[in-house]
Amino acid sequence: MSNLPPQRHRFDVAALQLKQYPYGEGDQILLLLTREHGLLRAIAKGTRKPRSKLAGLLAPLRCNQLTLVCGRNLHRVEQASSLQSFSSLQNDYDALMAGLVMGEVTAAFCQEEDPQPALFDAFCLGLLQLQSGFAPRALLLWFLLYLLENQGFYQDWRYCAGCERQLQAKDRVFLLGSAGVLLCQPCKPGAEGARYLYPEQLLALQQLQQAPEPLPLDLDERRCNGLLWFLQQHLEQLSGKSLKSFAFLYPLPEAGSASPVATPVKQGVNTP
Amino acid sequence: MSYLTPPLGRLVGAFQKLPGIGPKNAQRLAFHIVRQPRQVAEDLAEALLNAKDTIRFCSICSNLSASDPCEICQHSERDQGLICVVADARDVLALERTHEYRGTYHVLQGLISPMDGIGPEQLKVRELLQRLQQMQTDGVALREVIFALSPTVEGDATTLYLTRMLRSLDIPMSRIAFGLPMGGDLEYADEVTLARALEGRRSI
Ligand SMILES: [Zn+2]
Ligand SMILES: [Zn+2]
Repeated sequence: MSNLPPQRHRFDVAALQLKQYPYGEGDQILLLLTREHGLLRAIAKGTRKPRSKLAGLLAPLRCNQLTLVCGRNLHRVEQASSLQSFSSLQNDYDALMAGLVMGEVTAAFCQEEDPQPALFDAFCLGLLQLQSGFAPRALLLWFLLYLLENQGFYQDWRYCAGCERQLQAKDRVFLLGSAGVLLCQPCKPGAEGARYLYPEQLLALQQLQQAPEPLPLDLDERRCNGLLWFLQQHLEQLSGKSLKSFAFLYPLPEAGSASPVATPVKQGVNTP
Repeated sequence: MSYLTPPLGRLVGAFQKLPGIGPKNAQRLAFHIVRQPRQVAEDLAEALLNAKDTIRFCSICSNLSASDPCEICQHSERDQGLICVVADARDVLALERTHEYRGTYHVLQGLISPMDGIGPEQLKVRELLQRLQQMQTDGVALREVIFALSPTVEGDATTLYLTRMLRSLDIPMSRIAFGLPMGGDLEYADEVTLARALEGRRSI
C-alpha cells in the first residue's frame, strides 16, 4: 500500500532531518520525518567529503525541501534547499538538547510510509518556539505528551489508573513511569517504582494534556526534570528502545561542583 | 563470492576492518602488498607495531605522542596560556599546517553525541577542566581557550557544554569562525553556510 512513486521517479518532499549516520566511504544515510510518508530513509552521496554542496544543509533539526530519487531499498537525495534551518538552536545547549530528544523520540515511534502530518507540524512548531526562546523543558514536555496522544497512547491524567477516582490538587498522587499512569495514595501500595508527584507537576500534566501548542508552565527546572524523567521511562517502555539523549537534559555541572563531568546523572528526579 | 587463498583472505579481512576501507579497497591493498618485495611488508609490519607500542596520550593535552609531555606541550616557544580545544589528533595536524597558531592544544578524543549516547565522561573533558584549574592554581596566565570544533550538531553540543562548564573559571573563550571556503563562489554556497558566514561577519 505504498503511496510512494515507482522506482527511479523523482519526488519533492519537505523533510525534517532527525538523524544521520555514515555510510560507505563518503556517504550518509539520513533519517527524515515527512508529512506524507512518515519516516523516510535516504542516502546522501558524498556528503562526508569536503566540498560537498549538500553537507551544510543536511544536518539534524533542519527542515529542507528535498528532491529524492526512488530506489528499491533507499531513496537518494538529488537536491536540497533550506526551508527552515532553525540555526539559532546551535547557540543554546538546552534548546539544542530538547530538539535532539524530540528527534530521537520521533524516530523511535514513527514508521516508514505512515503519514505524520500533525506530528510533522508539531515538530516544526516546537523547533520554531525553541528558536524564539520558549523554555526548552516546558516545550519538550508539551511535545512528548503531544506525541504520545498523536501516536495513540492517550492517558487521562485527571484520574487514578487504579480506582478511576478523579485526582484533586490536594491528593497525594504517584507516577508509575513504566506504565505511564498516575495512582492515588490508596492505590499506590504494590506499584513498585511509583514516585511522588508534586501538585504543581500534576497540574502541569493536566494542563498539557491535549494542548495543541506549548504552554508556559509554572515549574522550576527540578520539577520539569522530574516529569521528563517520568516520561522517559514511559516512552522507553512503550518503544522498547533506550532513549539516550534524555540523559543530556539533566543538570549540567559547572567547574567547581563535586563531580563536574558525570553529567547524565538522573538528578532532579522526584525524591519520595 | 570470489575465492581467496586463506592468507590473502586474512589480509583482506584485516584491511577491511580499517575505517573507510570497503571490500574493494581492501582487496586492492592486499594484492599490492603481496606483489611487493618482502622488505616493504616488513617495514609496514614493523611501523605498525612500533607505533602501537610507543604512542600514548600526552598527559597534558591528550594528543597522541611518543613522548610525554608531547612535543608541542614541551616546546618552550609555545604560548602555554593559549589552549585550542579540538576533537581529534588529526585536527592538531590540520591547525599546525596553518603555521599561524603558536599556542597549545587540548584533544577531546571525540565529540558529545546525544543520540549516540556519547557523553563528556567518554571524552577528555575532565582532563581539560583539571588542566585549567591546575594552571590557575599554579598562577599561569590563561589568556584564551579557543574551541575549534566542527560546525555540526555534535560540535555545537560540545562547544555549548564546555563553555557552560568552564564559565565559572572566568577565562576568555572563543570559537573559530565558520563560513565560506576560500576561493569559493558566493552563489554556490548553501543557505545555511551563508547565513552562518553573515552571522560571523566582522567590522572592517
Ligand atoms: Zn486510586
Ligand atoms: Zn601535549
